[in-house]
Amino acid sequence: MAVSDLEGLLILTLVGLVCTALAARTRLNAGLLPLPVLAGSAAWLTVCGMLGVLRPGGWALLAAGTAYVLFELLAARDPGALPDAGQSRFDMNSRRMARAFLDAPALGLFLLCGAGIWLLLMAQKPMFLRWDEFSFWGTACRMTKDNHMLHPGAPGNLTARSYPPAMMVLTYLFQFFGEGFSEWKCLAAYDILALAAFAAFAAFPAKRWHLAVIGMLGAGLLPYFFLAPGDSQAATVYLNAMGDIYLGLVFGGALCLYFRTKGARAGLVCVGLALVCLTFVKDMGFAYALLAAALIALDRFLAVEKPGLRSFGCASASGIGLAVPVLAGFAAWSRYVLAASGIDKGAGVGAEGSQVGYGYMLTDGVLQFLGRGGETHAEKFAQVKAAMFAALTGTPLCLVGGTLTAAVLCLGVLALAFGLAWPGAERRRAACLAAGGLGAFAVFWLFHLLLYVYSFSAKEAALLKDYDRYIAPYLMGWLLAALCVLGLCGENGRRWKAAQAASGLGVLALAAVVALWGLPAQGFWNVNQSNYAIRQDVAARAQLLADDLSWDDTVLLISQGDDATRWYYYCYELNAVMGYGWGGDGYKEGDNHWVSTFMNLVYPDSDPRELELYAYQSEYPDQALCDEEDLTLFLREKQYDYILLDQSDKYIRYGLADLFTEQAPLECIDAAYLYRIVDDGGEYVRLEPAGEVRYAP
Amino acid sequence: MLRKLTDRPVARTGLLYLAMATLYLLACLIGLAQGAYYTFRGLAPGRTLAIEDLTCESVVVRDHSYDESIPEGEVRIVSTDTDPHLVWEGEAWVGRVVLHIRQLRPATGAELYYRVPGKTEFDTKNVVFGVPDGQGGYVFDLRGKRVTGLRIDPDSIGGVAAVFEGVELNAARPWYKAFQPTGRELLWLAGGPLLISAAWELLRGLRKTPAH
Repeated sequence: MAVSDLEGLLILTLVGLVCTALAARTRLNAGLLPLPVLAGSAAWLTVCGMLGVLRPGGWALLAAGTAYVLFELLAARDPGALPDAGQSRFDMNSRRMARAFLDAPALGLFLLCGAGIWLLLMAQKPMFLRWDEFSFWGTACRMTKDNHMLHPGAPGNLTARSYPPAMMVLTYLFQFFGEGFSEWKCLAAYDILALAAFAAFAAFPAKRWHLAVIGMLGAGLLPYFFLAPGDSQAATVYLNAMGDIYLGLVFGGALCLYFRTKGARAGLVCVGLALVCLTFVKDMGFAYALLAAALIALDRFLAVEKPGLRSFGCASASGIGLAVPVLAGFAAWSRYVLAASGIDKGAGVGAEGSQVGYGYMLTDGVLQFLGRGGETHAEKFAQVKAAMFAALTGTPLCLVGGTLTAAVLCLGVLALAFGLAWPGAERRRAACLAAGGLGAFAVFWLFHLLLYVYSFSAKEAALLKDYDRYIAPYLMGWLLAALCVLGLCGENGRRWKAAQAASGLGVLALAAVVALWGLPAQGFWNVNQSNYAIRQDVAARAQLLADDLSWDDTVLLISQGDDATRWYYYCYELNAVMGYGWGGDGYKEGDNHWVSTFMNLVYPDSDPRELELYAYQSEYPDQALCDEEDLTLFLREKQYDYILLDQSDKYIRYGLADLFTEQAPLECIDAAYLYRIVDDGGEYVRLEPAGEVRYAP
Repeated sequence: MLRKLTDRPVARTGLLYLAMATLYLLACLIGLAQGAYYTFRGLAPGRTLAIEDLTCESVVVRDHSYDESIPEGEVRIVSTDTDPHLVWEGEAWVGRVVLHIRQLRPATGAELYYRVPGKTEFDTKNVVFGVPDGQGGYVFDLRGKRVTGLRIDPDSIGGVAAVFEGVELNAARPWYKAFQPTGRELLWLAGGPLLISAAWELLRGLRKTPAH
């Protein structure tokens, strides 16, 4: 164990101290504050990153946090308040902070659970495994840490450079001091953000500490609840660098912050920070943040003692006040991405060649829904619409059913809260969240329908690709907020006993459902180390090539038998640009071929004698029928610098022999071999061994 | 006095932690005693199973007689799909199993399923994941279970050739491992007493007369 392995605990301690100091100053429950503190840190680091001063910004953040804590410990609070005789100002202030800490069991639980998860993952050292962790999330985190800059402008193999950086800068904060990037620290940082959202949900006062404990458990089980029964993804909950769950949790956490602070000014600042952070989690976070602002505005309009013109004005001001930083953040990020990487986020949606602007998408989409849209997308729209409606009940989204079931569950919780709350403002709160949440969900659902039609390919749209991953986070956040409203009834409601009993039974029922149908055999508590053998193999091979390659080089990976897994792993590990391959029937003029990430080169002809020799190739996924001429044509067009032969076979050695200046290996057991692509205008390109590691026949 | 203690949340939670730790230690000691008993009765065999002792499913076995490039005396197995099984049928008390193997290409997902008395099938609830032993093999720690069969899945990707050197039942295990909690047990030890105490407080509060 290195000392730097404990750096996250240092950051966690500082977060705890800052929350305690802020609580003592603002008189907010300290358990509410980890989320805005982390969100504010992410927003600050994002701004610093956009200005090109990420690392100095990090130091400034840590220094400011430390300075603030010292200030609260040493400064006089009230000009007239003097310490008692024999008591120093430090004693007085530290007692005040201690009281603020003890009054907020959720903060203590956040810190304990955060430290616990850090130590658990430190002992087990989990690694990234899912493809999207390599195509964007994990790779972007690594690029941010390795280069001390935001990922759009940093060297690396990313398929989505324009995605926002909140999760990246948060992981950067939690491994600020150490050298190099740690995947387990990244996963722990993500989990700590989730715990901050849970703490906002469970921020009961000290006399209701038991509700805080039960609340943290219930909130912690929600990501398991929002998976279909038997879903293998359950094993990756809290071990996942993808941002979808965190969209829902920060969305729900922001609403919890609002409900618990009852619209106090300090509370709205906390909510504002959370919404800005939400905007920077993922592009869809922008929509989530605006929906949250709208729900809060609705609450401030109607869930008050006397709804009327005055409350409407107040609500409008709050809504605009929350929306403006969100809009500004989104706009600033779009401009930064354009400057740093040349990607125009405002260009529209869809693949190159079939892109449409956002304005067209919205207007044509609404017209299509009303049956009056243009011919171009009419058929696809009808198909996707039918599929989305069918998915409301047909696609499992949680352990007890589909989208409709989850929505009914949220409404049921709010109906219960309505019945248990005091008449008037409190009941209107529950009703507003029910009606507003449902309306917001309808908008959210419709927006996703439009994205499937205008942004996804026909094949992916027909399958409603990743439907559960996109839709479930909203419902999870909405349910978290609904349970928070119910929890407030348990604290101060008209029938607080019934509310507490309902909360307790609810968590018990949730735990039972998760235990029976949703708990995986493996999870963050027992990471399966044997899952990382291929990752470790690719990492070791890439490490051997580190000195031979640079980010100016483009490498085409040949790994016979690969299904893209090793390609994605190399994208993450190799310090060179990964070239795209192709799949299809050949690369000569008239042949049908398409762009692919990985490629399996297979024997193209139908000579039965040769087919017998290469019959095993029929097992390869996604093949490219490729002879020497095809590969030459492809490499000449692409102008790649190297081929990396990660896994060979008989066809590479014998079938493509004329390309290699030295005999190619039959298999690559311990290393991958680099070949420089040399084109001197001959019949074929030549592949010359390059690099330190060479194949010895 | 106990009632006074249980009425105070901090004292009650402390008592529950103490109780949980005691119960856990007792469970570990009982496990050790069980192991000693089964070993004494000869029901905890420490032996290495050869390939002939196992039933191979989706696994082909190759040796020198099949392929002369394989050294004499060496046994190789190749998984033919993504769900290969090496199955042992027999009754025993099993503590630790080591799969002595050298896979010729990296593979993931080494798992051991154990069948308990009364069951006829292997169950995903009774699974232990392999921990690499640093020599290519995998260690499966069952921590003392009475089994009627074992099923080892050496990989989950298929097409993986490996040099098979045996399955060691009841391999030597450091004594302190008997007290090392699994991840799930650790979560229960760390959080269980606090949760029970919170539930206790909730029920206590609901039973009290309204003084809100």
